[in-house]
Amino acid sequence: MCILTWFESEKRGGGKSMKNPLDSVMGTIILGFVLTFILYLVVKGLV
Amino acid sequence: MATMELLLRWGHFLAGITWIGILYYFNFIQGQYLKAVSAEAKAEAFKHLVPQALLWFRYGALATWLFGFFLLGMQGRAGEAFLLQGENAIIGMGAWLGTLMFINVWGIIWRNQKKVLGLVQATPEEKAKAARVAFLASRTNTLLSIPMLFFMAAAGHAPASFF
Repeated sequence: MCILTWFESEKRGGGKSMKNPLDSVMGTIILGFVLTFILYLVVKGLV
Repeated sequence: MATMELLLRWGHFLAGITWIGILYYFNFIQGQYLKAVSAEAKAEAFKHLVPQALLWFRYGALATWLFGFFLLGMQGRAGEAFLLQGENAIIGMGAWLGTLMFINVWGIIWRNQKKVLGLVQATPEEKAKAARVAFLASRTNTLLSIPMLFFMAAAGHAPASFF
């Protein structure tokens, strides 16, 4: 539950709200590709 | 032994396609549909469509995980895979991502969807919160499925790309 609320939109100092990328399908897919690349480098270092 | 491995792999594929197919249906199709239709149509969908989809979704997840775990066990590499050791780190990363997704389905998505569907008692505020949590958990699984499928495919078909 904490992890999920961690993703929730947050109000920053100036009152600007940060958009949660998981609210959009494209944001989710782009994050998925970025995470894939990061984990590829991690696993490459382990193999 | 080889035949048993093949059967476990086949079961893993069948169940996995069922699970991830319904996950993508929820995230890419159903969400947009439910936003666009009338309250009556939405209520009908929640009564007759969503529970059936969720049933196949969560048992697909369970079967996928069990087939995958027993397959790794039969190959004698479950330990090295989950400890991310050597070449087994490739399938191990896929297995860890799949395990997180499986826990997410049964521990977060299904628990909250039961409130949304009215299978357990909840106030309107609790229902709204449960719907949001289930949505974010489902989107998190969609996000995790992208690297999970990459590592599953790489372990079987292109391990050399990690050397």
